[in-house]
Amino acid sequence: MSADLERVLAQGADDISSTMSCDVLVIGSGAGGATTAALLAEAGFDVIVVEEGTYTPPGSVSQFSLAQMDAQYRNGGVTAAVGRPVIAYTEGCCIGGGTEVNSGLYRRPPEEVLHRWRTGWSIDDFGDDEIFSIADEIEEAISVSPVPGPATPASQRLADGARSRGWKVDESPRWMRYPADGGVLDGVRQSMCRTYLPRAVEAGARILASTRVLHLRISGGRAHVAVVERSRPDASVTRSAIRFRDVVVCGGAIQTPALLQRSGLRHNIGRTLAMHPTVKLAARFPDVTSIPDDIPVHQVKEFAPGLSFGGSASGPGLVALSMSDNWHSFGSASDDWQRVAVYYAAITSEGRGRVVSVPGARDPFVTYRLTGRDRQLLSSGLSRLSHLLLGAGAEEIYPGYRDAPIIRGSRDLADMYDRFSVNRATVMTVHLCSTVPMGEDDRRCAADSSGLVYGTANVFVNDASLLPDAPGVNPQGSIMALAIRNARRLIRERGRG
Amino acid sequence: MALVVELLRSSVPPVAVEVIRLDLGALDAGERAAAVDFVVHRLSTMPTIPRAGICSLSVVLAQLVRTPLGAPVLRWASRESPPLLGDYVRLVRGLVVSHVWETRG
Repeated sequence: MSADLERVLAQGADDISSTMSCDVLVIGSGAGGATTAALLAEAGFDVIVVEEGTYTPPGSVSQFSLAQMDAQYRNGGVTAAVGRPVIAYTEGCCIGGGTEVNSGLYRRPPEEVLHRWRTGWSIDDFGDDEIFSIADEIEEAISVSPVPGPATPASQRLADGARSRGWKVDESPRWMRYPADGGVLDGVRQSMCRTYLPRAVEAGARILASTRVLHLRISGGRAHVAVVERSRPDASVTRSAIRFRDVVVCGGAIQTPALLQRSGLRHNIGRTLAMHPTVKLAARFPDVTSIPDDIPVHQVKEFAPGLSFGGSASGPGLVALSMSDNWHSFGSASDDWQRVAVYYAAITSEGRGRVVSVPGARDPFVTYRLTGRDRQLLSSGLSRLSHLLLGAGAEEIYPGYRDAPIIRGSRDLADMYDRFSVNRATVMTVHLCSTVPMGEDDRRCAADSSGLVYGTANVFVNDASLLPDAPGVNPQGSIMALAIRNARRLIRERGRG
Repeated sequence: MALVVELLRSSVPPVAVEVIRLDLGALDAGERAAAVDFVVHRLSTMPTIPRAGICSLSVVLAQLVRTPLGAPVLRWASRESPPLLGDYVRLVRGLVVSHVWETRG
């Protein structure tokens, strides 16, 4: 399957004709774009997928490494929403998008979230039954399963700590395939490069890597051409055009609104960025805990949906990074990184941000503002997480904010709470959404219940941008479910269903 | 764009070296040089507008670290995390430690 994908990518690289055409142009190849392309191609549409990033064969770079950031993240992973504090975020930029680089943890969209979206944003024909039936299908397609045997030590520690406090904890399944006799570290990620993109290719879709869409030409509410820039390995860039009947924009919650704005579409676009901001800490245990290229699967949901705890990648560079705000007092613990694991407290933020495309600038400008409640929740989250990890046997805890004390026992928690300030903390996120919210209420939505952008006849969005707000769980399952639902509606609408 | 990258190449190294000296202590010369190159590379690939902001700050700080005021200002920024300047110092420090500890193996 991946040989076919590589063949099609090679053909795409050779095709330097000035104008290509297709029935449907899909912009982006991540969780939204790959599923959309597969379904449309299988329904008989002539599909072209364009992806700004390059192709990195799955497994050829270490997960969560600096090399991966160079190869598969946008801007090398150094991207941030400006505000007080600045919030660092990351976006995948490669064939397969974020699915090639994220944690691989899977959650269905919770029932209460679907209800909130349906009623709060007036999304039509948005029944739980349909979404959960699609979720069943996704879970089979990407092999969602629990880890075989015991989880990694860092994950077990988190679970033990939660149980010691009587808090709710569960294992998030992952989209991984494990060999029959394999353990937790033997899983093979079932990212879009291994699942939906090969399906799209098999059904005849063409895929163009290193191809950035500059803007869509729209007249009378109908888009008909995408002006693209194609980069070559020798760093030369050529400009060309792709003609289409319909376009589905799946560039993610930052790039999708930016492209729509560059194309002259602005109604409610890019004004309601939502996210799950996180603060982190590192905890040192008596024995080896860290696994450099894997992530804990347990998540603590006692305070969900507002607040959740989980584990982060904990290679030596990332352990050191988590201590960098207080290097003089924490830094020496980095030498002992195998005994240290990094954990996060994530909140479902009530704040909102903006994505603004600035004329003349290649990248959009992103801002985010936390609310007072968000700040309070991040503060209490870090304290509660520390309390949990002490219960898990942590010898020392290193909170991720400037001037934090080392936590060695419960008596230090009050001091930690008092000294915490979000403005002095390293705040980050990997979950971004809601910049083109969907629904029938066009006073607050940018796209209708099918993802059709208001004011257009054939510009669709089908990615995290559509989620009306942050779901409070790992969002890939929600993104894929919405994308498949909307792709099927488009197929029906165009008379192929 | 090319001008911004050129300015980053010339202005970031002296500031990064000073941040390393104040905040991270001793690194051997090879490690420090590789880390500084990495910081310049990463800052050069940042999104357009933050990169322009970082470039402006770097140019000012590169002048400042040549004066006796440089170290106290950076130390204050590191300690107090004022907007922008504190974020800049945190970013440089974070990039350096990530690189050094990942490449040490």
